[in-house]
Amino acid sequence: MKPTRRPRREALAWLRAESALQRRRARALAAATEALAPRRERWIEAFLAGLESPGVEQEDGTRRRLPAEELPPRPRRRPRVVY
Amino acid sequence: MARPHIERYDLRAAPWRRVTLLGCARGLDGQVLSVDPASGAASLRLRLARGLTRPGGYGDAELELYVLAGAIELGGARHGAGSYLCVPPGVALPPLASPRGAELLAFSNGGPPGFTASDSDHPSAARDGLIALDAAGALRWEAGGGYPAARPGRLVKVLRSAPGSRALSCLIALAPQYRHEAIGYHDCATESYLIAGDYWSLQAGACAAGSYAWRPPWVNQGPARSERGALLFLRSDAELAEHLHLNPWSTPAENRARAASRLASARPALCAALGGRRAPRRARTRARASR
Repeated sequence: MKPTRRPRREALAWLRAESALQRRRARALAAATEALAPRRERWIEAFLAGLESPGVEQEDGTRRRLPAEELPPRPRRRPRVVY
Repeated sequence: MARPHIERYDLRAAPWRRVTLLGCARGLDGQVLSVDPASGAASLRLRLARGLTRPGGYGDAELELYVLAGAIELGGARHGAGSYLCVPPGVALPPLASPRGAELLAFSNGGPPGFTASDSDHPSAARDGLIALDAAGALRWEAGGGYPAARPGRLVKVLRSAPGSRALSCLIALAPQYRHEAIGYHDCATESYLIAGDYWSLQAGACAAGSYAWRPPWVNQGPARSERGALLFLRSDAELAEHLHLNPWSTPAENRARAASRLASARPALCAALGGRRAPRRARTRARASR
């Protein structure tokens, strides 16, 4: 059978169209992810509370409770998830 | 240009559109999960209509396929749900048929998906790179897999570790009531598709089966959990290294600096040879003291 290559321009047109759709979609998905921020704050609070008790599992299977001064400090900047 | 960071793309509500680039004029619909605007590399979910056929042929880009549901036939050989194929560029597949329909994940690496009808390989094709696996039946779950460390409740089936880059394609199974308490990040890009079960992470919240994520290097992932267990398809674009920490607010730049500092502490000679940064004095002292 003689190879019949599809035109390269079809792939380029597809790529242009999909890239444009992706830009719009990615903006919407990022906004939806960042909109979880109020709930995420509660999840982070629960996560940090869990580091203090019951603690975090170590490689040897034991648990270590982090004292409050070892918890990561909250940054001044606005928390961000999507980069 | 890289793909955009996607934490959660629920494909259940996404539209299906006809895909003609893969050599089927009709009967093949797809959802684009993500696409690299520069190279054209793309990740897609494909739906093959019942009775679809396509002549034999090859593509210009490497193509990875994973059968989510149904089955495809290649030259009469059946590849059912859980089958994985990696087809190097220029390697001709035999005629394709989907007598009862199928749903696939498809990853076109290095370029856009394409198809050239042919019953023989392109002269430059590397046929020894062709992989066809029955991942559901013939592969075992392993505790470590391609990951640098085993994690309780997580099992891996390595489908492919690319020669050279060691980019990974694998299945991950999470046990019911799975918990990962730390936050992790990778020094490579990763993408994942939740095939079945449920998955929750601090970044994305609850994800249902049919959710997709594409994450650039250095972004935080986790803590994470799964209540009913989960089956995921995961890919990385380089060897998968896992860096763990406990700061939910760290930025990719901070994570990258932290990973570089840790590497410089652990492998100072290597980092110096690479012209990289020296470890901070405190880390160098600690490294010497621990010898």
